[in-house]
Amino acid sequence: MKDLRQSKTRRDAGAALVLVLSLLAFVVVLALAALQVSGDQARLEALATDSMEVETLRDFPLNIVLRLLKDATTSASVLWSSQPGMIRIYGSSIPPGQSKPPALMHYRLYSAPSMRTPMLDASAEQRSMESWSGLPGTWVDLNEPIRARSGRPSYPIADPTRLNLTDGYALRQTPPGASALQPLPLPVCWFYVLKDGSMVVPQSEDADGAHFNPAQVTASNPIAGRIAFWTDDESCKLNLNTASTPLPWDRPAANTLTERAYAEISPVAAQNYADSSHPAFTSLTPVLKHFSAGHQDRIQWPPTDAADPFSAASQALWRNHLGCYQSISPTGAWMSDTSSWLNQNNRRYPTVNEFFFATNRQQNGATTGFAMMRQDLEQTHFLLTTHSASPELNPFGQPKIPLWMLPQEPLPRTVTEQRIHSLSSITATQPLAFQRASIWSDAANQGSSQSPTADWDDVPRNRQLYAWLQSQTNQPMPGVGASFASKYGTRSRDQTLLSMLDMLRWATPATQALPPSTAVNHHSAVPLQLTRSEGSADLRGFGRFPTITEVAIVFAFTDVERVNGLPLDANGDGICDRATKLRAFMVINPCIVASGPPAVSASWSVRIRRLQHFTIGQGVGLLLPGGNVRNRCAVSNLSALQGSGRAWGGGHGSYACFASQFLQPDGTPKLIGRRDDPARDFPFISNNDVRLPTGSGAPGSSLRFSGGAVIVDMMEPNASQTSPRPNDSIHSVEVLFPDRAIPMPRLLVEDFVAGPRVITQRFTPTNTQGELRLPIIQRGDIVRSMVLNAQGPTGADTRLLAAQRDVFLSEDSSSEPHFITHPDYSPAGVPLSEAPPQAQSLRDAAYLSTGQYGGPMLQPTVTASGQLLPGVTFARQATPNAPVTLHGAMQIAAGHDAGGRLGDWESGMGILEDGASVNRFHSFTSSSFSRSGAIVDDARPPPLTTAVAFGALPSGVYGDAHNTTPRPWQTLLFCPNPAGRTSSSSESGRFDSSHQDHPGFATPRDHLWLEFFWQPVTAPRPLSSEFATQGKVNLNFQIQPWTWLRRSTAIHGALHGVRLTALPTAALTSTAENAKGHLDGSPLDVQFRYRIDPDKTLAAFEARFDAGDLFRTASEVCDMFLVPSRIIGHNYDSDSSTPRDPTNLSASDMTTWWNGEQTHLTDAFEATGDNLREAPYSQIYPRVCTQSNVFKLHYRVQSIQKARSVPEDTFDSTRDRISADRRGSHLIERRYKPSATPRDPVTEADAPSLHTQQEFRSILHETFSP
Amino acid sequence: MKPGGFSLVESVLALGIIGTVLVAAIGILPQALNTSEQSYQRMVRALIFAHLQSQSSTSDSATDLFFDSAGTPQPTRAASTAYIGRTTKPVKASLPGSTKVSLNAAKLELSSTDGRWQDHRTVLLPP
Repeated sequence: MKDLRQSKTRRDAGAALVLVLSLLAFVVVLALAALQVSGDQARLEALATDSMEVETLRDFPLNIVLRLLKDATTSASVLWSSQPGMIRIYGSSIPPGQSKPPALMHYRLYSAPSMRTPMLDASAEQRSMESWSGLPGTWVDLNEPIRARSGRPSYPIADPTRLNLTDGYALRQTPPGASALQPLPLPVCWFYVLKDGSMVVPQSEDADGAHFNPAQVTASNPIAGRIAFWTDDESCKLNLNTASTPLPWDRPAANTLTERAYAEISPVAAQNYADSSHPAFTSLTPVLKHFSAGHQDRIQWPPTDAADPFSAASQALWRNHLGCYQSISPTGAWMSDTSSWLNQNNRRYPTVNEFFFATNRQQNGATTGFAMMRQDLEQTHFLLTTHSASPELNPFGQPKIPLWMLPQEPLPRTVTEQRIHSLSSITATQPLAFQRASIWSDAANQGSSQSPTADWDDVPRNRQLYAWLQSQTNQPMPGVGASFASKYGTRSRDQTLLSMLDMLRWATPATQALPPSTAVNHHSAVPLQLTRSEGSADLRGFGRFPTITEVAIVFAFTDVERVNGLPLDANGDGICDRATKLRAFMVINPCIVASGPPAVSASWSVRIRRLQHFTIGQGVGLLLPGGNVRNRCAVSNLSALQGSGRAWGGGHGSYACFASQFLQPDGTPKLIGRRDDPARDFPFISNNDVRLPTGSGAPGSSLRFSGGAVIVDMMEPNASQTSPRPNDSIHSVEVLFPDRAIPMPRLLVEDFVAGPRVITQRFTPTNTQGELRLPIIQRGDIVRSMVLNAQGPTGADTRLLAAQRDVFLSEDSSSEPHFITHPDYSPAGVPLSEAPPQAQSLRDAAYLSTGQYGGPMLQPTVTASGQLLPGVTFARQATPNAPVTLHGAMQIAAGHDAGGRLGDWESGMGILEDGASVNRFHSFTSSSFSRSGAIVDDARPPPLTTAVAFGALPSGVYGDAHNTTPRPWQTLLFCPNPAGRTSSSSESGRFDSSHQDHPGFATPRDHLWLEFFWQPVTAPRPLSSEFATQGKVNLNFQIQPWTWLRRSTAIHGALHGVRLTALPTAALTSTAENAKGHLDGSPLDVQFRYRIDPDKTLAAFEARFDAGDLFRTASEVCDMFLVPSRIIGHNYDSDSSTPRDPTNLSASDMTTWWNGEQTHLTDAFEATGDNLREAPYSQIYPRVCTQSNVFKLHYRVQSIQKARSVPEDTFDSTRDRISADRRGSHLIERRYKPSATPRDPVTEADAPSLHTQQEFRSILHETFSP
Repeated sequence: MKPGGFSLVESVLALGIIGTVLVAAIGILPQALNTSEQSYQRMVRALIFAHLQSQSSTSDSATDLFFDSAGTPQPTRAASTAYIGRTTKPVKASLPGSTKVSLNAAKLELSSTDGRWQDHRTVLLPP
């Protein structure tokens, strides 16, 4: 038993310890568990706390950038330009030795040691970043990737995967600190945020960390966290909500297959993608073509030029391509003929990612063949946006004026006009838009277009706006430093302003306002002129109304000496021995400088004063009328004359309406011998036969013609026929027929055998070789005319003549007159007996190749024409509208202007003639290729899309500020390559004492006029609002401070559909291969259009940026040469005289490419008119900007817990703890403040700049967490 | 017969161990509880700061705001009020290298009602 007990005792020994230890273990486990739970909770709470505390930092970058944006962009009296990462502001003062005001301040929109500096030392900034990767306490890579759930690296700002794949997205040089893992670092400085809210940057950094100023960073004011940020400019990205893919379209510039095709596809209103001023014309192709690992055989990326709307072979591919983009574009258009072309008009993409899905949540574009993968969007966030807008304010921060004439009364306004009215209104009372006093209603209510004063006198707002523009152009412009008044003088400046207002009257949608095609005076407008009470009475516009280029007197011999009733021909040579009677009549040559489609038929009355003084011989009166007798000229192209498929025509040309002086409105001949009914009678003819003085009239003899000064008054068609009243004419021209002898004609016996010639026969239209003609000049007639003097004040530039209300003879006999005798009037050195009988160059726009008035043979048009290029005669089918005295449309010397350059003229559209025109209607249909102009364009012309149309307006009608000599052949300059330019294209055009390319280059450059006008985008939905327009592309694509990265993709998109037109001079002089077509009128199979080579073109942009300058206004794009490239698959003419292929040329070669060698006028494109040279800029300017209203802020913030072992004034990334790290972005919108007090800047001189009325807000926050 | 049970040595040893461990454990638990409380309070204060920040652009300057121990705002001071918050604006905040950029900032102050704790933050306000 004892053993048993002992044994049991031994077993029990230590049991208590075991129990205790077990209990102990249990307690320890419980304690540890409690500690673990407590620790976990504490960590979670700390995490949550850190998250909340770092949120405090998140707003730091946003509010800093908002502050900077507000400081930089809301100041009055400065001009600002934005670019990714920076905003620069400019004042108005030009320091000595400089050509324009330097930047007043540079606002960095990224974390940098200095956020605003007057100077920008880009090279120093680059050097400071060279070693950024070794200084982690000072710099941070904002673009540091993280591995996304997909396994691919994800970049918060710019994905390097698309570098060199997407157009315009590339590295200019290897970024500092780049590596295989991170090829695209984007470093900026860390800002360390102290507890008191102040921010500091390290003074130095070494192996121990980043060291701060110990006076700033203390134990009581320690580091709380750090922030870094950079702000992108969303207008440097392609906007998915506004861009699509463009259909290149422009007015046909010649008669080729392509130009004819342009006419065939003249865009209709819904085709925004064919409107070069619409944001939809900007192409998404540079980015989207690479989607789904792009292949050039896919619909969204066909090989270059393979999808060609003008080629039958590739048209189908083009349509598929277009339909593909239309299906994904919110600006897509309805197309009636292809059901697959969709309209996404109600769609907006709120974010770029949303682009992936169609409205049915299927993949976007899948139904039309658009291919895309998820990573496509992830990798293109840096290139695409869904929010971009830019201000539509002029350099003074005031609203621009719409290129539209709104009906003054609300009732006739269309939906578009209602939108424009709203978009251009600040106050509820009056819009900042010109207005029509009244529109055309019917023949009895012609509207204000037919009045020279109604749109001025009856619309007070127009006068206010005019005065407002005067006031603004009196002041030096911020960023420019000079005013237009100081450049051109107030009179020429006012003339330009009035011409602009006048052009808006007739060039903006006109069918509703102007007489329609069914009216006799269709599409015509009387020039606007200021009333005399304004003190500037002789300022006037052009209207669509004739001026006079020639006044002729025709001596029509009606009878001869007879024997037994037969003409006396003693020697039997078939020539009458003596003329005995004649009738004289006057012919004027009307010329409408605003000609072109839509065909015009102006109505007017003409009065010729002092005709009664004309005599022949020794005082034999010519029985011509005096007083107030008028001839009402109003014959429609749609009159009965169109019978049998023929038409009188000419409505498209400058010399339209010639025949209307001889025809009644219904087309029947006017009556001779009566003068009491202006509409029925032709009064300017001898009212009876004038008997020649006895003994005169023999062939080879001569007869004195007294001549004398006559005044030709152009008047309203229904002007009163009572006695002349002061100022009762619209336009008056005084010409002085000299007192000279005229030769007696060799009259053919056969013409008088039947008796005296019947004068009325001349006014009866006859069918001559298929054309309807008036035989007003016949064989045997003597004609003497006064023509526009190329040496006179107008330089034979009819625009200068038309711009003046009254052109009277000068009292200064030494000055050159406006009109001189025709060169054949009394040619020097030629015996009078051998002088040409018909000294006239009358021209009718109805004819060109077939010849002009004359008898027995029609006068070839080329002999009735002068030359635009000195010494260069254009072929028959291209004969220009140049007065016969003109031997070169040259700019003249005046004051400090040395002149002697080729001047500005307009290339005729289609088959129309080149010359001095002011019409740049954005309209041209296939019917416009008809010279007849009888098939009147019924379609309502589209509006002026850009103020580049003002480039046809003369800029020196009254000289400039230094010299009032009129400047012929000088128009507003909106391109860098005028015909007169000789300086290198590596310069930006000059007009100074050493080099004079064009006065338009003088400060302020003419293109700044563009900044005062805009065309609101109202279709398919209003893309313009609150004085801003969505989808414009910023010219300033340079990225600060990462200038090694190029992102010009958006500009590539803007240039994608632009076409440049260059007509070789040889193509106008050649009869066979003529730009105006073959002699039979058939089109030429030659291409005159070019693409824009974006890389070469933008290289000059980058050179500008690298030199430290930005584009200050969008109009400065007109300073930049566009480098052309030939379109594949088209014939550019193999003629040896064709200028060279630009393939291997750069922007610096462009002056030579355009204008050739200075000593040759036929080796390049000298004959390309000013309108064609400026046309590409009219396609670009409306879609580009230099200011942005939307910015994207990328930020990174970290909260910091300092280690006790690290000094307070040091940050050691290895020991101090980053307790929280956040990355993300804010989309910041700048907009017109809804709460701003509306004030009318037109009537309130102290109304503030609208830039000061802006507010800012973050409209979208995204956290970077792929 | 010798009665069964633990020997004195065993008992003393067991009690000693238990006592030692319990003392240690009891010593640890308050610390753990305190850490947890501190963490919680830090979170509550961060929550209150976030609230003050969100109100900072609109609230009146130097007006007291009251919160209970869970960070819930109270309309007036009450017995349960644990924290008093105050926003002072505008205060100066500066960017590196530039004194010309005028930043709009607010100072957020928070203190416990028992007077044993107080802290402040500075936040930037929209311009």
